[in-house]
Amino acid sequence: MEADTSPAPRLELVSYQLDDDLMVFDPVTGRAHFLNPTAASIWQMLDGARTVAGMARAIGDAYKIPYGTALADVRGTLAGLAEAGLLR
Amino acid sequence: METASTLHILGYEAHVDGPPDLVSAIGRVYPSWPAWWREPDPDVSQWFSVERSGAGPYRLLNRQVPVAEEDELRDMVTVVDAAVMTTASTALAKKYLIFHAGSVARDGVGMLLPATSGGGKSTLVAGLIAAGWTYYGDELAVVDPGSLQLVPVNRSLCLRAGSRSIFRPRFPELAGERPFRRRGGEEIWYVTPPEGAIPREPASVRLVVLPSYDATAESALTPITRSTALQGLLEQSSLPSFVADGGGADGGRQRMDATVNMMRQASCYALASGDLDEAVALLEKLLVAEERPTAVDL
Repeated sequence: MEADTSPAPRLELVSYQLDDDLMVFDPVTGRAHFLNPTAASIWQMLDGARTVAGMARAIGDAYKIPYGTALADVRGTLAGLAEAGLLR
Repeated sequence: METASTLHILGYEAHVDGPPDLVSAIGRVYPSWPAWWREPDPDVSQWFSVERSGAGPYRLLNRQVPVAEEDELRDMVTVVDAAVMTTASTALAKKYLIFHAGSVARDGVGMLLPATSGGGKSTLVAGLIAAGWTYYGDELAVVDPGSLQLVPVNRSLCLRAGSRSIFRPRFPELAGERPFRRRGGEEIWYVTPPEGAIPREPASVRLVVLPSYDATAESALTPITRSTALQGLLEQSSLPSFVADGGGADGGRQRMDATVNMMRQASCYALASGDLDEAVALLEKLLVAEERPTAVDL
């Protein structure tokens, strides 16, 4: 996924916070997706406006990791979310 | 000669007709619990009949459509039971949250024990009943999505041959009972819950315990996150098939809202055990901890 793209979740998805964990439910399939902490952080930034590069900068700042490492993490996570059918 | 009987499980009903021995046996698998009778929904009613042509095999028909055959009438009991459970699960999912789980309660504390078939649910549920818990089901757990309370399924416990020796002292009536045979040859016993184990009221789900059988491990009850427990519970949920079978996205979302709310009020644990007495003792201690959180150190 290019650094200047702005991914967004599918509109019909519902996310649930359960204690410290985030679960995304797809009411079309009835399937639930449990996100790890990194994926949950990225999921909460998906608004269709923020770019992949912007998310990587935010993750890098939050976890004190280099931008390049954060960008690779964000891309990997977004690829997983896309593969699960959770992105528009 | 044929006889007929109508089974009721909450708002689901199944009309069963066939040879008297079969109808009688099925009636014992699904004992009548009048307090839990609910107005039947005619849209989900099922008609099963077992018939035989000459010396041929017995055939099970659902709405006159043949669905199974067995050479021995007695072997047809587990086949009819499976057909009733499958159709009841689908029918009840229109109104309730349905999980493949054992469900019991004591002192108003409801407990779900989600596990796959063969995961030891029935054994654990039977052990808890023998220890004084009330019985809501050993296969299907039914939760009202509005009240988040367990409602019982009036089906007899189903024990496998492997656990028979464990239960002889607890359920002496098993000693003289011939087993029934499932397809594939597995022998099982149906055990009618004792009168004292039949619930008188719904019970709020306050405990979700994921059981696993491990004969080599020391019995242990370990706290887990609600998220981990929910994941285990959803693996035993009918939600995907409910959505696919016409429940729709809105219905799916309402059920997930209710399921998550149920989990938010529950304490969650993983139970590993290969010893029934130890497992029951741990869950009894857990119950006390749930009722008096400061009194017990698990």
